[in-house]
Amino acid sequence: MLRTPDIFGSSIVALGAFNPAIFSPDWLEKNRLIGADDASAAKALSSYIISGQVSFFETGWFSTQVVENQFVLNSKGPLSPAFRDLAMGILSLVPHTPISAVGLNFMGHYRMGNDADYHKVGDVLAPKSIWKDLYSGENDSIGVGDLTMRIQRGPRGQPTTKDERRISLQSSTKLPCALYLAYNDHHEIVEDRDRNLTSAERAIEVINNDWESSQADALRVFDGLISRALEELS
Amino acid sequence: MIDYGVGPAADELEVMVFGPGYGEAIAVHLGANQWMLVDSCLDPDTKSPASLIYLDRIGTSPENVISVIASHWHDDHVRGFSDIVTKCTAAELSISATFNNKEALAFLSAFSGEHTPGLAKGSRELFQSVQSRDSVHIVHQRSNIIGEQIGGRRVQVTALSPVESAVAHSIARLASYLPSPKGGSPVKHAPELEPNIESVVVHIDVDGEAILLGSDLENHATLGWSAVVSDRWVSGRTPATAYKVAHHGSHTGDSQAIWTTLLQAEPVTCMTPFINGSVKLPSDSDRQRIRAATPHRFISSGASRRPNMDNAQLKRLNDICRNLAPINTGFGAVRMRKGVGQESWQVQCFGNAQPL
Amino acid sequence: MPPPVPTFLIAESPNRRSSVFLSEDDRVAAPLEILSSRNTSGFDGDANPKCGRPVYDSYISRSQIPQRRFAPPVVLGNRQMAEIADAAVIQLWEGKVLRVDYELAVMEVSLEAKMGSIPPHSAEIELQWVSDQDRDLVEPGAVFYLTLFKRTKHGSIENTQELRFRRLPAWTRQQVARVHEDAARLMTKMKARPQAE
Repeated sequence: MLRTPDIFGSSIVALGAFNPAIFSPDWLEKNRLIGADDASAAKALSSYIISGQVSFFETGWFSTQVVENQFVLNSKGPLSPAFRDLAMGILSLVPHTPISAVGLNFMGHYRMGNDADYHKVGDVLAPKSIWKDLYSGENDSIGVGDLTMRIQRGPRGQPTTKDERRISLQSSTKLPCALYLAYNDHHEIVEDRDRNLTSAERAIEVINNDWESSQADALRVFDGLISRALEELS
Repeated sequence: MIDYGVGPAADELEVMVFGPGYGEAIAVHLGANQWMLVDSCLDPDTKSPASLIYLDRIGTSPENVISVIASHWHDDHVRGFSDIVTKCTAAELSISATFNNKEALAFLSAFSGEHTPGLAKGSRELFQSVQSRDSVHIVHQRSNIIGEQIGGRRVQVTALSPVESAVAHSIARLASYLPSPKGGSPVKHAPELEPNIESVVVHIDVDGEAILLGSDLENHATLGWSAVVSDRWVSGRTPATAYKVAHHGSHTGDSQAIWTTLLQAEPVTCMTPFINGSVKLPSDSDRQRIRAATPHRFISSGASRRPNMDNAQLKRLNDICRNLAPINTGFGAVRMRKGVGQESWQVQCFGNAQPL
Repeated sequence: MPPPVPTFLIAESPNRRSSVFLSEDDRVAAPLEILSSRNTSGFDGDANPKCGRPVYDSYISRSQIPQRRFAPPVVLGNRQMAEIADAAVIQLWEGKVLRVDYELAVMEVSLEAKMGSIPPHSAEIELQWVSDQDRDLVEPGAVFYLTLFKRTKHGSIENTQELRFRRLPAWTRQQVARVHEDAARLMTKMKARPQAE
């Protein structure tokens, strides 16, 4: 049974060439991707911006920000596949938008039971001995600010694809005695001429095919890192 | 894990019917280790097609399957079907003649999830199965599916349905669900058309020993069972001594003429249940009717309706749901086996299978 | 004067295009106010454990700093944004509507658990649990997600649930064209069987 994160969310990011002005609550409602209540609520918030350079709006379960070269959808509250459906739905409304990459991101905050466990994870994943030699003064204290690992496919230095994963670990700034883990599943996107799919349609395909499995993998990795680190020193 | 024991002898006929509560699959041994598979459901432990698991457990390779039939495209009859089609490379694939039509095939494509995200079920299994083959055989009433000598015996497998008018009717219904060519139609999930008149009913005759597989064909004044049994050619088929009851024992899939025309007196029968919300087949009256028709009746799965989850989850769900019940009542299989010269079928129940 | 750009950006190699991490290029290009939140508490090693209340951004932010590496800075025009509750999902069910009784305002559904190995179940759910904006989506075949979760708000924890219907975009002309291309291609595979005698 995997550890349940205390807070868990997702963001889906696409790089490409967007027209922020069209990404509005009314547009999503008109295309039946969100309901009337969500659209009204988004427009009522003072954070609502729609312009040629940037659009931003949010509802109770997602926020979206679009600039000319990037589309971002962030989840809020409990995460469900409806979030994935929304991302796919929005991109399907702009099938001719050139998209060069998609990132499927998952973030979790995990409360640790006590200070000792909280420190154990950092000690195991980022051993301090070399750092302590370099900063051996009484007033020097060493801790992990941010640790990021990159997982590529293929032998080291010879990746077989530009797709890759990055996993980061930090101290949580939201919960006391907690760790923050982030998982990025990055996909380079090109149009598929054999199947007559535009790059936006390929991006939709990646989100459809990989979002749930990436989420499962993120939870597996987050749990695995914490569990293995705690077992190492016990 | 179910222990199925040993497989049939080379000269034994066998009909194996699998059913978990929602789902149906049939494996037929035609003799000399040649098999025919009809429809597909998933083994709950492995999530693989139950028929393939069975063949593996009795030491038979998928290469021994010479025919694979999808009686229709409904979800409860095709889960894992594309896997069967991929693995049974020596088998010919047969499907209802309803799909010998561009609009019907467009329906399969439209609801397969290939072109719109999110439609992961619906017709996906059948679409993928058809897509994976170079050729697909379409069958309707009187189609000859197998007609050859197997193990020294004359084996004739024919389709008793769908009738021609049912094919036309089904095509029209499927076509009505296609999205507009201009775009803009909302994406919806595949409807399951009722009554089911496009199913393939299979008649198997091995040197005068006959088996009837009723699929999900339902009754209809001119297009379902009534049309089938009133056909002179059909009524000339050898009456069967073993019958997979149509449409999960429901009265909509029954007709007195089936018992008087297509079956011998008191045949061995088996069926799979169908549980989908408040629809539970066979109903109590269905069970009574079938019990009156024959003393030899079996069902692949029992009738437990207790929710199958831990108490904490159950409590949370009960805040918002009522009448919570498992869809699958427990996986089981009924095996009917008959050797050359034997008077009657030997029946064995596995897993949750039991007499009706 | 905008706050300083944080210096803990992931260093992108010069010959690599912008990734879906926030790169230096993205940040410089975007004419947006950049929020800075520094995590002042190191953890592990000899650091004093900072297990008291964390330092939040002056803007209440859902996101941790690295999240900005995955997304560009968020412009929050008004500091008085509603506080967002945190949620821990206990179970997620994918449901499908089997039948609807509009008179009794009840829908019969099938439910498949997405977490753990609970087998599928059927149930009845009153339509009162469906939000007003989703009511017109309730029909046989419609898919919904029922999320059971614990929500922490203002320090207290409550068990609650959310039922949200799946919304799919409409068919596009290109998609429908591909459907018919498939049909034409599959037609060439269809072969009739001989008639039995």
